[in-house]
Amino acid sequence: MKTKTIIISNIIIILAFFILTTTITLSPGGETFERRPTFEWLGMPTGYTIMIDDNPDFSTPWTEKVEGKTYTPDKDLELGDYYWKVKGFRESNVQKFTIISKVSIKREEDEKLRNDGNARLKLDMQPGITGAVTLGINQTIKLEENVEEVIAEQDE
Amino acid sequence: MNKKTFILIITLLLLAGEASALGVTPGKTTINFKPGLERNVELTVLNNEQKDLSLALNVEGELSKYVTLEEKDIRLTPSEGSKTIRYKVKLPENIEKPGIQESKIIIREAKSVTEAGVIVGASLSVASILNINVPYEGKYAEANLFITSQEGEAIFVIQITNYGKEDIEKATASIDIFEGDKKIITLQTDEKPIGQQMRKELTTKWADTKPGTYKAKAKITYDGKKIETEKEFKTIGFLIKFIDVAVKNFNLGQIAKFQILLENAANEKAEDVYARMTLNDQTGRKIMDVESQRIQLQPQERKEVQAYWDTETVQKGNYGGKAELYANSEIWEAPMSMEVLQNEIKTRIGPTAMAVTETKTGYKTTPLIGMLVIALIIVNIAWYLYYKKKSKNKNNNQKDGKF
Repeated sequence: MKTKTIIISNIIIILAFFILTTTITLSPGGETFERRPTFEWLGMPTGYTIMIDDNPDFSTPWTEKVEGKTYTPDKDLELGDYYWKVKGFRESNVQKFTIISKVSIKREEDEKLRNDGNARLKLDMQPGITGAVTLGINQTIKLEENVEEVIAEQDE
Repeated sequence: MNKKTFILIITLLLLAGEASALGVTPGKTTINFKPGLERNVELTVLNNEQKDLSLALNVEGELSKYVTLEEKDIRLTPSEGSKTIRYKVKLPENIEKPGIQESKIIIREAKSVTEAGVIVGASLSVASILNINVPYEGKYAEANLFITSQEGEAIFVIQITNYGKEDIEKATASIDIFEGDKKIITLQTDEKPIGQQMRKELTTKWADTKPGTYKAKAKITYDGKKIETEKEFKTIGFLIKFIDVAVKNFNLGQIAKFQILLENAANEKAEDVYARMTLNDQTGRKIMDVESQRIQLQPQERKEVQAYWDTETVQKGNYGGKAELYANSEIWEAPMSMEVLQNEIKTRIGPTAMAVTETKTGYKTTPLIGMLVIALIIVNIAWYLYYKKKSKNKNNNQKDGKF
């Protein structure tokens, strides 16, 4: 009885330790338009290394050391599929997310066009030169008076 | 002013200040060709400005005849922020031209026309691209070279996509690094097989890089075929390095002459090069802030600069501070410590200079294991004491004749 109680209490402590040191990725997962998504995870208050890769085998990961439990990249990620995980005391699960493109064009005052989406755009102006204009994210362009139609498409 | 002209002016004035927007997601869909493949694709049309939108849909491009739209005209009311539209792709048994064949699903805003029949402003249209990736006969791959540079290291990633009808058994690459016209090193990547329509990445690293501009020429070989690609890149790192900091013939209370030997480690000229050193005492008060003269350094050149420090009010002891190097309007800094003795100053520059300097992210894994071990020890001692006490009580009770 004595030995059994001691073994059980030791097992409980070890299990509690493993539960407390488990790291679980929260977001992003699924699809997002955000080119700089904020990565969030659960875990002990310790240092982490976040790994982001477009390969599920993490053969060419982008790694960053992080103090807290969130991380936002300081540059835009390419459109497409990504896999990410964090390593603290132990390694987390792998989470997949996809940055999908949003082609969006907004007409503002004074016949200005703004790239309102999350991808660089190629603009075809009719009548005019086809595909001659590219518009970065959130950039604007002034429309010429004779332009009758603007077709915006993804340019990346 | 007749009625038509009045309406036209009013319409123009109204439209001039009005914002409108149109969007579609995803902006691109890629389908790998398979004979007779049928696929339904969904797009979401975005009405970001929550307007009443009348839209016309059509397909343009090389393979448009294989694409059928479910609807050709749609309307979004102001309460609809988005609407899903669908199209069906039904591919033939064979497409002769290999490579990426582009079609576009174009969503057109109806033109604003006045009662007088005048078109007002440019109409907005957005396109969602449909790429059909038709494989090449046999083995065919395309490659992109990506180079990322960090302090003292460059990482090369060659992204290879197998666009052929056959699997690639072995793909590998060698990368020649050139400094000007001179080849300085050849790097070899790993080897990987690449299945049909698959993408793989070959990687290699160049360690101990010196800051500068280089060219990488990559030769990729896959099952007897070759691709070549090249790219210019810059390695990160500060151009100038401290080689030595010495103070000769020093006497505390007098002026100390620092002889600072600097080296331009880069393969480019460094202008306006100088060193600055600052020291604080234990209370944080600045006790030294000296700068050397400014010089130019050719690539790989070493030169000595001097800085002077009046030690009249300085006490013997250990002091912490920082050393800075300036060149080409850029700055590099590192922690610095100095031990000031009666006839000597010992200077240390770099991460090990100060005990207080810690790495930004220190992993606290050892304390966690320590906590586990301590918890286990405490619990086991507690059990031991508990059972010992219980056994003692039992013995006492037996002695007292309670049982």
